Amino acid sequence: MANGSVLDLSTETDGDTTVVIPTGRIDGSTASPFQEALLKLIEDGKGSLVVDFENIEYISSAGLRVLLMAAKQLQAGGRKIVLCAMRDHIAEVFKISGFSEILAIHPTRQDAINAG
Amino acid sequence: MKASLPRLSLDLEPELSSALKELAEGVARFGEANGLSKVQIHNLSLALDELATNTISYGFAEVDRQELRVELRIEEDEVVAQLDDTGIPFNPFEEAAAPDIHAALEDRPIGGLGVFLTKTLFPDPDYQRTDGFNRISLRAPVKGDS
Repeated sequence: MANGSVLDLSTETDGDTTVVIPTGRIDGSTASPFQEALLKLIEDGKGSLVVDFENIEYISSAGLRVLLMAAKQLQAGGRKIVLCAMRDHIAEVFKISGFSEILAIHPTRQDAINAG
Repeated sequence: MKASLPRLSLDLEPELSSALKELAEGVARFGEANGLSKVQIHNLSLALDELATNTISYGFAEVDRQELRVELRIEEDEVVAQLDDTGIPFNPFEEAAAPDIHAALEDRPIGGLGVFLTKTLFPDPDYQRTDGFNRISLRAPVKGDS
């Protein structure tokens, strides 16, 4: 379970919405490839970006920073980021950091796509 | 409580990827052996990750001697996590800028969150600088899965 520093990404599209499904841990050692991947998806897409947390077991502030950067980038182009399917302990990290106030978080991927 | 692993020491390499992997595995092993709840294991893991990441990324920047040790132990009914490093003298709980966690998206600065998360999860951290080491200890009442 504690499989440090592993992060895989898969992507899907639903109309103009890009859905990214990362798997593993987002920490100081995986944040950089995660950021590159998100920025590329933002550049290549034109609608909202949904990040599905179903397979994410861990996120540190390094990962929050990447999401903030992606959110700012999208917002500058009149687009948005929508997050979904977080485990409780991950949702708690978003809550105590204040990120749940500035980022849209939905229970399921379909809710997130509908909101995007 | 009689724990099968009452104390765990880790000497972490000053390289982020291997250090974080070893840290996550060590905290999980210690936590499970001592019956800590999943939430408590996660919180210890996150706080130590944030501190170790700062040390490796910034504290060791211009330092030749790069040692980073983490010790986890049970003291009475408390779990104690101690992180000792030879990085530049730095008390993150006094010297790191606090983020404005209620700022709007466009005003949110990128960064400053790691120490804030650590302090939120462990509200009474201790910092000392002795014998060339920054010594941080975090403690919390032991919580098991009920």
